[in-house]
Amino acid sequence: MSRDRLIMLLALLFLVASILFFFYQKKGYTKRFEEIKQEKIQVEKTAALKRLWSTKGMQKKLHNLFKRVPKAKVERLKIERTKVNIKLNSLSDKEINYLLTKLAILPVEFKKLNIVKSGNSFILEALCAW
Amino acid sequence: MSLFSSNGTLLLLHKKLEGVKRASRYDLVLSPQFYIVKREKIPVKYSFQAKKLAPSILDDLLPADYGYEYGVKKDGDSWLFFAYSPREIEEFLQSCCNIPPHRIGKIYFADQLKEVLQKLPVGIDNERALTLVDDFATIVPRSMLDSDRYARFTKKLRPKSSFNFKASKRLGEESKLSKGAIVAAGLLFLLGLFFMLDGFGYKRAIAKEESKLANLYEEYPQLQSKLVRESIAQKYEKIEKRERRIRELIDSFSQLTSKKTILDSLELKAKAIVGHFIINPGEEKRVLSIAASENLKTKKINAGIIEIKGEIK
Repeated sequence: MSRDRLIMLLALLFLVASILFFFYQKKGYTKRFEEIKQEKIQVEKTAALKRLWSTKGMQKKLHNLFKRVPKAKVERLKIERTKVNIKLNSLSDKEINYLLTKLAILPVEFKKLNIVKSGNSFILEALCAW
Repeated sequence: MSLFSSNGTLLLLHKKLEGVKRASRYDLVLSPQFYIVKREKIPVKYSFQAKKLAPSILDDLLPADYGYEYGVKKDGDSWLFFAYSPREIEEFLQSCCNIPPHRIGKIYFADQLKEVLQKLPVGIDNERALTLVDDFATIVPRSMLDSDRYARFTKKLRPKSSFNFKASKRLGEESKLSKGAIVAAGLLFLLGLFFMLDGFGYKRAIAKEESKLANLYEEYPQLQSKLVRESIAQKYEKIEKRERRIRELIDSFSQLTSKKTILDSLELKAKAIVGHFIINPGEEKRVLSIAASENLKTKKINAGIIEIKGEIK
């Protein structure tokens, strides 16, 4: 075999090996990239959910919220470790809006929610758990 | 044969050579037909000094400039000077046995077989033999010799010292790479290099992504396990879906209220939130259009009271 042919053959072999290496890496990259992407999405989504529904310091937050309501309007307020049971009377529409907005921000599950108009005011009855 | 032997197949090169077995390399014992030898006593100690003198000593014996190469060997008090033509040897081997020049390895001169030839002539074929005449190796017809016995030329006769075969310039030129081949090979190599670099690029990119993921896991070490992740997600997704919908509905209900539309009651049921609104007849159209846009079901209870229901999916 002449040297010309030999050198061409070597260069060709190098090219073929490089192409194979390239496609092998590309295939691996595409597959792994998709896996990593899915894994990252799952981790971030789970972390966000966990953060959103974290119930750390919930009792304190509820105490702070309901201490603003005048005692005369409180018929029932039981803040326990995993739930709160409330019945508030004579609430103005502004007060009820405020309380509902604040409760909605908190990561609680509404088990019961009743609002009834009584004369010019409202009665709010709720059972929230976390 | 040793795998690591550097010796090629030993051939006694003479003009009637034929039927050579195929081998990757051939070491040649040149018969006097392929070289010229002269014995001289010169006052030099080393072979490199003698070799420098070889062209001038053999000059008058060489017919023409045929690209001769030289070899020297100490023989007692005197020096043996050899001259051979690589081109002649290459051409002969190519024509007689189709042996390309690059398969030629070491060479020896028949005069190096002196010790063997002193005992017995070496048979070349049925008609001729190699023997010593005036202390020089010479090919003679067998009929001229008295001997009945001839030594066979085998690899055991390989002389101790060898000479490197210096290929002719023509071979050197042939072995040089052509410009076209260099350019083509260079281009192929370059293309290969680009593919290789791109391949490494992908490798680096994936390492980068892996490190980002590792950083994420450092931030949330408890979420490294897929099972834990799925368990947490399953737990919260259910709550998230229901509670988000409840909050959206409360927000939609609050949009319905105004000075002329008052909430009478609102109740959270297992699969829906139901609200009763006391509305002014002029406001009915506005309330119904908002309810429709928020996908809330409406039902007229009586004049001035509408029931609005939002389903928790």
